[in-house]
Amino acid sequence: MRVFLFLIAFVFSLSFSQEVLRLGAAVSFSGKYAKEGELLKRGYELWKERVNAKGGIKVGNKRYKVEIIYYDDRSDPKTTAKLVEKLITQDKVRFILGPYGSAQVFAAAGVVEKYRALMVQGGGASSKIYRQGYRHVFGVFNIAPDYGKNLIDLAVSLKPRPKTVAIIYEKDIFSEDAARGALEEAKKKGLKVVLFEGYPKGTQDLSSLMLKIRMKRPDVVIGAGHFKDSVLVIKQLKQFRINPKFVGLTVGPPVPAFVKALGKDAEYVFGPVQWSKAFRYKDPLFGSTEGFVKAYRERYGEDPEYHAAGGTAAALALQIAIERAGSLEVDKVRKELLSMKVETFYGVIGFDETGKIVTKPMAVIQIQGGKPVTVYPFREAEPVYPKPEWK
Amino acid sequence: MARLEKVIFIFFAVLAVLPLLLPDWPYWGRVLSSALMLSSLALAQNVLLGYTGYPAFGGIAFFGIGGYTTAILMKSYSVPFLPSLLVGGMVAGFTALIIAPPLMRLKSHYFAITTLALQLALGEVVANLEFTGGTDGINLPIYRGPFEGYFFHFMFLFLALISFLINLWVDRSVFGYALKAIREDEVAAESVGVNTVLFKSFSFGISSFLTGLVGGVYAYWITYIDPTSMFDPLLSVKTFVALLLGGVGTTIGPLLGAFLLEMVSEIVWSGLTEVHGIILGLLIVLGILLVPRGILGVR
Amino acid sequence: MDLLLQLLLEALLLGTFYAFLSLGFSLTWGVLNILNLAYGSLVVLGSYLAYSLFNAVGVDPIVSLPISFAVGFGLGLLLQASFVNRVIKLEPFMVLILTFGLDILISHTLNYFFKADIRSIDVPYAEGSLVVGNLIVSKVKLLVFILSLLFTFLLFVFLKFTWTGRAIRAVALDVEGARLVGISPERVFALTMGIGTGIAFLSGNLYGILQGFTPFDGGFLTVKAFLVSVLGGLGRVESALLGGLFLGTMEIFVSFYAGESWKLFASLVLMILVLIFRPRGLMGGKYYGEA
Repeated sequence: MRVFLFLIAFVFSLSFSQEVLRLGAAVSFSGKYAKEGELLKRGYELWKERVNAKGGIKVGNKRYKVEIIYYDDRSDPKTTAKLVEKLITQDKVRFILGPYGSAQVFAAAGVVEKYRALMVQGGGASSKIYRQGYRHVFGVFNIAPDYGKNLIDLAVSLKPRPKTVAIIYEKDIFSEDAARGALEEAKKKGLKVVLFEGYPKGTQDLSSLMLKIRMKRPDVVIGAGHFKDSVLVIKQLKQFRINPKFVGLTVGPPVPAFVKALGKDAEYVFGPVQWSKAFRYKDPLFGSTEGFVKAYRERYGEDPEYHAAGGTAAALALQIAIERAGSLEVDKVRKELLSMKVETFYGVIGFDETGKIVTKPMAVIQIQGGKPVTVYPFREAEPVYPKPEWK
Repeated sequence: MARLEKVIFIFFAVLAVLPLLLPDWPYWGRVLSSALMLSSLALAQNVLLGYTGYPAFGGIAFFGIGGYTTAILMKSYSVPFLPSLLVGGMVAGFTALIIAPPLMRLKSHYFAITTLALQLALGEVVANLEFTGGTDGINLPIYRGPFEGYFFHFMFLFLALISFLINLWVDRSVFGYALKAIREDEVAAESVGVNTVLFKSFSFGISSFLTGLVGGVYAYWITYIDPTSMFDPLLSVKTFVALLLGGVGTTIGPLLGAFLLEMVSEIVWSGLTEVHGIILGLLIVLGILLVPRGILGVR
Repeated sequence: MDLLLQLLLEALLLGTFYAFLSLGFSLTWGVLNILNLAYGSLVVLGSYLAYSLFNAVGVDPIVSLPISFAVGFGLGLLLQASFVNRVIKLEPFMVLILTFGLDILISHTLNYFFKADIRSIDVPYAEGSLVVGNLIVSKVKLLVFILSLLFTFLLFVFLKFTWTGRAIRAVALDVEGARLVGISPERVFALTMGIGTGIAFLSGNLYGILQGFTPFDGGFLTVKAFLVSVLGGLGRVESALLGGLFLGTMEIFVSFYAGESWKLFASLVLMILVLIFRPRGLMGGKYYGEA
């Protein structure tokens, strides 16, 4: 009798045990992009926890609990490609959440396309990703040239209007793209570009570039690179006693670690953002942008910035597409992604036929009092300009 | 033909039908392709090191040349794969042929380190040029067509077979005897009338041609290439470890070593991604200290 | 004119550090005839040692200099005892692969423990820079320059004027001859390996002060050490200085005029050319003893 009861209980529990949908992500937990990779993972995790708390993803009549397999790509695109291949062939994952970094996304995209899997990513902004004719790769980041463009637009709107600009960039797929965006916009707005030069990935000493900037004395300095580069640029600008009126860095300023790394020297630096908590939108999962910010703060004890938000938004877009398709077939989910136009905490999410997002704005923040504040085009505070000299 | 070499042909035949038999083919296909690729590289290097005595430690330079040539032809000029591949191999081979006379004045570790410097320098050039995609690398078109899941397995199998046949030929032919004479004593070879510059240049050329072909197939297979993956010193050292493990200067040693190394590292890799490099390093150090003459113990 | 002076100044500071960095490499090459491809990784190991001492125990990176040398010296003896003796009998290019394996082992082990993140050792009292007229000098670079010069000078005195130093030079010149006059080559080999690795660690400590580093910096540091050694020739400590200054000047000017991205390429091409056309170095002189 007891055995019989046990059996009934067992069968019962089986029929109610939830099926699991496994997603995969190869993200940088070490190396150059470790900071951003960790933030991206936070975004994914927040989404996963929220979805599972609500009973999982609804596919047709079934509900799937979400699991995410993470691998560390060590900030190396070659490794990303290998790991994504491993996710697809060995772990049998069909839906990939993107890595961080344009080169990593670029590398992963080829593999995803090859195996006809599907990737939604909030970690790569290079426009090159969308020029490959891929059908299975979607991104929720505005493309890289917008980073440079927004910085220049802000700079020329300030009084006294700056006249000269120096642009330095890391030679990587994202930063060069962003730097070119700044270059084009600067020319269009009549700024004189006194320096436009790249340096190789992993450079730890920018002395010769600094010497050049020092000679040209530009009003505006734009640095396109990633977190580590941004910290290095500020340190060396100070070391070489270079005092431009406006310093803008494509990546770094909005991340809390930036202020932590530089302290007072981080003050008044500008940085473009994909998303800011100053946005005001409704959201199907978190209620609103404020709801997302609150959930994030409760979970991680600090305010979210756009890397984490991008992660959550990418996963959310995938979830909405799967639920609308009512199927786990890649082709059906893909069709839903292409036709979607949905308001979320992140802005309106909608993709063009190449897979890039075309429906949301960007913003620019400035570090004021140790905190990133949105100054353009929304104004949480007035921008401080010209930037005071180094102390 | 020695019995072991006949066994190798049977082995190739088995590999040809294996896709029909193995479950979970995508996974095993990847493992076998890696092993066959390493075998081809080791066999190519064997022509030079094993029979001629010149260790081209930076031989992967030609892997990069072949791979990039193939990739650029396919991507920027829409040339079909096979012609691109052939051109890739030929560019690699001719480059080697041209630089061989000055380069091969150096011997042993000086030759090794110069080729390594060449490999790294080429990687730097490729990273700095526009038409090679710079550090961003190139995304190749994706193979769609008949035998989609098996295409690359057969490509690599074919390359390994060609490399093996060339090794057999070198092992037996007059050309090979001349190379071996150079290996044993270059001055003596010269004095009995062997045109050493010509012969060793050709040896370098053949080896690099094969290496270039492997690079081309690899690029198409992996679809994303960048300077660090195509001019990777780790691949150089892996080739040498496979070669030294199996036994230099034999026809079957390189194959044996490559399969052994690839299987070991697959076991390591699939479980312990983090310590992959540590174990490879340890393997090299211990291998050279404990079995400096390879498994077959020749030469 | 100001610009030229500024660039030459940078070249001087950098070149002197390169010179010192290369001394350990050229010493083991000249005396033991080992081309140690793991040299750069040993340097990086020194950087991580100084980094760990600084962050875990709070040892100032200047104070840690003698510790670095001592640990490096010990490791060198250990390497010597464990396999260098066995290796000397192998073909030179086997030794090359062996040291390359060691390089992979060290860099990946470092990567396992420290991750690929860029680390740096901050020296608060050397932050900022000095301005002289239109010239600007970073204090950190100046500090590393002075220390490199000092250590190079110490090594020079040691090799030139002490009995042990002379014994090392004698062995480099002629092992059997040295044995005849009562020098034990085995002990000299051990000592050289110790000093060589000690120098690697010492320069690693300095490298950590100078700039950020990752576990995989070893490769291009080895290239630098190699280049300085072949440029100067393995002759004398003085010639390492010359080689170092040459490399420093080339790097500074290439990165200023052609761009930072061509720096490593220029070094590598130079290395290939020197190997093919002047394998004994620009200065001639093959071994330390041949002065």
